[in-house]
Amino acid sequence: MATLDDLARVIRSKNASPFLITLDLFFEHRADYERVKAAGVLDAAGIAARYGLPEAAVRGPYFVDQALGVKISLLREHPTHALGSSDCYGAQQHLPLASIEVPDA
Amino acid sequence: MPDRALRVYCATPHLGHGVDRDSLDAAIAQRPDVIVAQGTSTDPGAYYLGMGVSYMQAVEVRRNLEAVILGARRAGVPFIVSTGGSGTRAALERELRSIDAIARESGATPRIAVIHGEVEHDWVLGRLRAGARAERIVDSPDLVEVLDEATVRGAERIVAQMGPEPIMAALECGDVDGVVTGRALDVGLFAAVPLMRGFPTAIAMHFATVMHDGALAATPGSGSDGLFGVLAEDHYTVFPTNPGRVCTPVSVAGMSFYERANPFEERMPSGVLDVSEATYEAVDDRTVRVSGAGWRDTPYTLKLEGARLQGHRTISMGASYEPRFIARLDDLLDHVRGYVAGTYGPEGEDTWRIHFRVYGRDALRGARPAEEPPPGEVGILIDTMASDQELANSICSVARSALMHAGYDGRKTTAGNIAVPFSPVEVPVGPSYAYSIWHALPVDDPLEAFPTTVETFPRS
Repeated sequence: MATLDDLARVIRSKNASPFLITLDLFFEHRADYERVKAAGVLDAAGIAARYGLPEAAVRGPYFVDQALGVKISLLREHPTHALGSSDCYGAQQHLPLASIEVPDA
Repeated sequence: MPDRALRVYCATPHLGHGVDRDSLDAAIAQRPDVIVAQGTSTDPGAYYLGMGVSYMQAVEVRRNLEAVILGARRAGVPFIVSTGGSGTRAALERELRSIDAIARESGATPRIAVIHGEVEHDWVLGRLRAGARAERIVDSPDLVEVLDEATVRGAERIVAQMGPEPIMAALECGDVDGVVTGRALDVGLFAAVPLMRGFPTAIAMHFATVMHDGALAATPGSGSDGLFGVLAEDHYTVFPTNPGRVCTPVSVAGMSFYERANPFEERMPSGVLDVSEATYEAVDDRTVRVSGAGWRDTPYTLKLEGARLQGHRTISMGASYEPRFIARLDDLLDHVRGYVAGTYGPEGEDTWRIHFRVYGRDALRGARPAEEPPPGEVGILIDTMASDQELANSICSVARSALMHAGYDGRKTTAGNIAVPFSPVEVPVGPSYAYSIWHALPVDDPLEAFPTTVETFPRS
């Protein structure tokens, strides 16, 4: 068992408009990428639960084989301009992803 | 199909973040046909659009504009830039004054097509009254589903993200040394010349998508360095001119991720770019060849961005390393909120609101595990919003003071609970804006919203 943080080269978040956060994972090794893809651990329901959002707020996961990357986008609970928003650029929203566990291949 | 390759240099991922002079010189030696850079965005939030100002500092943008304009002049080719941050009329005008100064100091007298991106409320209202149905681009409950007149009138300012067409028209009218735009689709800046030269829309748009963030498509990536691209018949190649970077299939394919919601499809004004079948191959150890993107036309729409005033903001910051205070903090913050309400009446959207953020504890996480020990030190941001600035200042002042002096069982720090790092201890932030328009407006003519003027700089 390993976590996504163990396996990924990059785990990042960023705005994709003031209303969406987009989460990117990139892997150094194709084997790690394929392992995560095959494990099915990045399902919308699980991601929604980790971010405290309804499942309908989750777009993806999108697996891009050529980039050894996975993208998931989230409709933010608060747009960047809301008083309760803590992250104008959306650059620090990656942590709930990092601890997701990936079974051995 | 064009009879020769087209060579494009992206000078920087964003004007004002830096232009690497050595990379630019190396790019000029590679004989570019055009030098391009973007300088508008919505990333820093709605404030700048609401205020009509740029989020960039004038001196930083000017330094980069100078590099691009004089670099294009040395190369004997046109330049295309968007600038002004939020892209409003006033923000663009500030940069045009910088171009006046650049021209004056260099002795250059460039003829430049200037295309504003701010649109008049009456123009949008006219489109709506003519039956245009502008749907929201993101299904956020913060946006009306279909743009209505009240929302348009309620916006302080509106910009439209121009596509490549107004830039192509400006270049086609001939005899300009460059094009400077307000708010624009980044991809449009880079697709304009490829489309003029007759490259297929799919390849032109995909090329522009990879090029527009410059050296972010290379490894190591950079927010202040360029990227060179060469469009051929049915493919394109990209490489950094900085010898300290390389492009790899992974670094280039990764650009379909950056700040995009969907890595396979991207909606543009005139259609949808589909890169799900695109291929990325290494030509050598620093050059990547790309082909295979698809495109489907859709009815032309312009993305409108509008900001409405949502209140006035004042902030204060305090910190503590007193364990007894930190242990009681949530109760004390409730007390502060109640204390303010006792003086100013109930909290509400139209009156006043406070948002506390406890940094070092849960300001970002939103919740922390119950078994986790309390942090040794916390920062408390008191973020207040009210219907006018004076009220916001008062709410923040009363809250800051109440938190400073709140009593609790076992309190020994009876002269004050928090360390405030600066004076003024409360900081008026000014008006606060929210994006209220984020809609796709159907238009018949992609040029309609974007009057173009050609002027010789320095303007008198």
